Amino acid sequence: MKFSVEKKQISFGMDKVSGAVASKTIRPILSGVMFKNKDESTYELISTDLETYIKTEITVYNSSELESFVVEAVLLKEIVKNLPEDEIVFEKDGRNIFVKSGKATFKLPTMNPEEFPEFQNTNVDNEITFSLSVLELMLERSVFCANRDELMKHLNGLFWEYSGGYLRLVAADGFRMALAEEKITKEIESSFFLTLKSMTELLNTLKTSNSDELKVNFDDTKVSFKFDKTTLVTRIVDIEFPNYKGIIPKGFKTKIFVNRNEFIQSIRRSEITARLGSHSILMNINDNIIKLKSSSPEQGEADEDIFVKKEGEDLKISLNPKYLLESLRKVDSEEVELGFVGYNLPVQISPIDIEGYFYIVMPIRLIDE
Amino acid sequence: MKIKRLSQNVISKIAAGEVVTGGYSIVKELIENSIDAGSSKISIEIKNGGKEYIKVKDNGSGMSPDELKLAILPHTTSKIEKIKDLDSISTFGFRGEALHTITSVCRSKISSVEEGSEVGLSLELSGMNIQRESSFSGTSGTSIEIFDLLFNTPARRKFLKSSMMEGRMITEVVQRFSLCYPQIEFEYIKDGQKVYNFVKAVDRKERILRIFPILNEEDLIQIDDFGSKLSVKGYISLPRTSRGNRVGEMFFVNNRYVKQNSLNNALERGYGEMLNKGRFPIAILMIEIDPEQVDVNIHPQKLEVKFSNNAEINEFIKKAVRTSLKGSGGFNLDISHNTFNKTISTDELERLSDRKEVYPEKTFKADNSHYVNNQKTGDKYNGFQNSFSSIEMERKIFRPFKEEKINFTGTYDFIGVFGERYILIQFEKNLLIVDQHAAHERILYEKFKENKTIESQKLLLPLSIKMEDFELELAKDKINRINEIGFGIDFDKKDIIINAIPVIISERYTEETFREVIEELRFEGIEESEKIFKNIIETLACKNAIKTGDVLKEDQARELIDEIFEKNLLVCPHGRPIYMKITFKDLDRFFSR
Repeated sequence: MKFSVEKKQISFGMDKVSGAVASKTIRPILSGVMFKNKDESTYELISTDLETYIKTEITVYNSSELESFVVEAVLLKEIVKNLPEDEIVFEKDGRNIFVKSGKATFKLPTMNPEEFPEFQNTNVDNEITFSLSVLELMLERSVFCANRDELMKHLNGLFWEYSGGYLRLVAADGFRMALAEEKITKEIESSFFLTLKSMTELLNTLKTSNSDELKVNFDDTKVSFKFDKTTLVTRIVDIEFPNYKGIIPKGFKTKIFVNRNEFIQSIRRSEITARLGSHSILMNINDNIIKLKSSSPEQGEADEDIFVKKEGEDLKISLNPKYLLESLRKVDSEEVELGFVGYNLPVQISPIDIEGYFYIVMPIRLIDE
Repeated sequence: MKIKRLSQNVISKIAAGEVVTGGYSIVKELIENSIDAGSSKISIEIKNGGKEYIKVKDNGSGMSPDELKLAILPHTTSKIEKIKDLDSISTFGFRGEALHTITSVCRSKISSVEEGSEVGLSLELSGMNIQRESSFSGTSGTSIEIFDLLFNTPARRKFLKSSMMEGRMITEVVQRFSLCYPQIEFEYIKDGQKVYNFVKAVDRKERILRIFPILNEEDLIQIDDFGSKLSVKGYISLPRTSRGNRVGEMFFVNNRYVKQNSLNNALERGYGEMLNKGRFPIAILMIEIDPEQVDVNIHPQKLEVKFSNNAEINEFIKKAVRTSLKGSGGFNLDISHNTFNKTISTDELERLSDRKEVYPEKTFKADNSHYVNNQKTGDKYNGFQNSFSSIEMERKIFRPFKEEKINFTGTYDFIGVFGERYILIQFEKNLLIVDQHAAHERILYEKFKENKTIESQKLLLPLSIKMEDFELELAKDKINRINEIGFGIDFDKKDIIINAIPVIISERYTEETFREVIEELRFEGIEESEKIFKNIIETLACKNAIKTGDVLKEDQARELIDEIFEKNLLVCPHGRPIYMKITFKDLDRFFSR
């Protein structure tokens, strides 16, 4: 068996599939990438951690007696990146594969392709076509809220909801939540939950795409994303996502409108003394001024005023600066709106220039005065 | 001073100290008498933790007026006659002390109607003196009311615990009897509220579920095992439902509640590594054994017994537990719950659960390696047994760390993290090995301590947790304390809704940490409140610190070391050292340079 491939082809291919390669696994085969021969000039590259499957295609030439094989993924990725010439020749001899380019030759052991898990595809047609760049933005604005703790299964991922002509992505940890939505053309009513890990893989893989068309399909157990001759399929997690709608405030007592950049700068300054002590910034909203105050027993205090537009009542509330900053940095909007319900109740942050997105954060408890 | 013969009055009060250690011991003695009298319904009522009022009423065989007057004298009993009877005791009482000693230390009213009679006698006593006698008509049975517990021994009365504690201990006594005797109806009224109303049942399962609300029916496994000399029956919980203390482990030997560490150990060894360290099962085990094989007369409250063949019995219990757990297949679920990475396929799971030797490496190693040195015998579960006791020790024993103090000033060179456990740095020509868990724990502890009130982050999704009745009561009672620590809670019937948590703790441990806080608060009123607070912040720090096995990135490790330097910390809150120093000299000596 022998074939040649352009360095760029295989390097891109490896980048696309490497996300799903299992890093810590008790099944060695899963640390490999599967080369599956499709026809004389095409190989499918497949990787999986048994939860997410990624498949992409590469074009090969000068091929003879093509067969499937599995080779250690991380190793091969590094090798092809560093090979000297554009043309890379693969040649199999027994259980070993020789990777040659210019004067360099690598001899790598292969694994049995029969042991590699079958690629799982979705088999019901719920397909919608989406703008890849739009979905990428939605993911970036929501996924950061997901709980990073793999043991907190019901929050360690992203909730997908098709409802009323919209696709809604919701992520939450115990303290905050982000929701991004976008119109879809198809009438689908359904919802499912995907792991944070698979969503990170998806984001990384989407970034390697050259086109903007993305097809999303799902059945009872899996979701697939197709773009650019690449398919990513990931398993739906069987959990119940909390009732996020119950968290969204129905109305506000106080609203403020503030310049996002100025707000970020002010919070960063206040955070310096908050970090060392209380982990909180006290916001005293009084007419058109927010007085920010943070202090720590030994490290001193910070005070700062910000001018804002205000609607509704005056309010005092305490917030964790980290959670404020993380959300404000995700949205590219000149002005943001903050909606308050009460001092111990959720705060909703909505960027003025972006439709279909908001972020909710819970405050630090203030004891009644 | 001359030696004098003590008056009966004094003797009785001294003896009462053995039997009457609190309201709970009175309730226990009286219920035992009721059961010995063949009652099918027993009702218990207490007020103010039993300090003010205790009533135990039964429908047993009762006493005739003459018997009743005799019963309040010392060493009178209907249960044994001659010394040989002691070898085959099947009743609870046998010393003939209970009623006498109880009535000697309180004001009381005893009414009893003998079976077959319609008229009974009612005695009102103050100490040992009969104040009033009256006849009344009723159905057979005995009712004993106790007012003003220990009113005539003020010194001892002072040692009664808070009403809440006393009340809870009485509740525990009632629970034990209810569990042991499903065929007897129990009614329990506490401060005017009906806590339990157990109807006659064949099986004790219903009662277990009622008494331990955290259990679901499917969490319980039945045990029914017998050997040539003994049998074990009852219910144990699946490993997935465990508790942070041993209160849920109950043993009854020949229908008598006993407190025997060796039995707890046997039970826990039966679970082996299925339970995480520091977690305990719920188990109600009825052990039947030939009365001649067991000596109950070694403890005044009969709480401890002596088996003539202890080792054999323990082994039997361990095996019975193990077999039932295996048979239930329940622990498969447990593994997938807690410890597995999701990347393991389902067929893999099945394979793993068939043979527990191939438990996921991560959990197995981490738990075992700590206690490897404790494994003196070939029994591989022994290490775990030891691990439990070492946890208990941890809380009690402060081990002072005698090591010259390093003055952390200046800079250090970061070398690396070793074995997901130790951070290595070079400092002033010394190699410092820092324990990442101990270091982080101490830093968190300092943070909690500095901030007098701990800030509380509101939760987006309040967490509802099930708690036992007494824990609910405790939480209601200590709500200010709980707020101070940074938890925010609401009550919803039998559940506690946590809506805010201390800022520094991580979400994952919310429930666990809260339960430990409650556990700690139990001791308030017994120990000084400052010590309780210290214990709680120690708990918070320990639970939420980086664990051994957590992978630290270099900048995280540096941050940790920076803080240790900044605050000059040497030992963790439990008193274990944070670092070890190796000097060039030490190394040179080792390499004989």
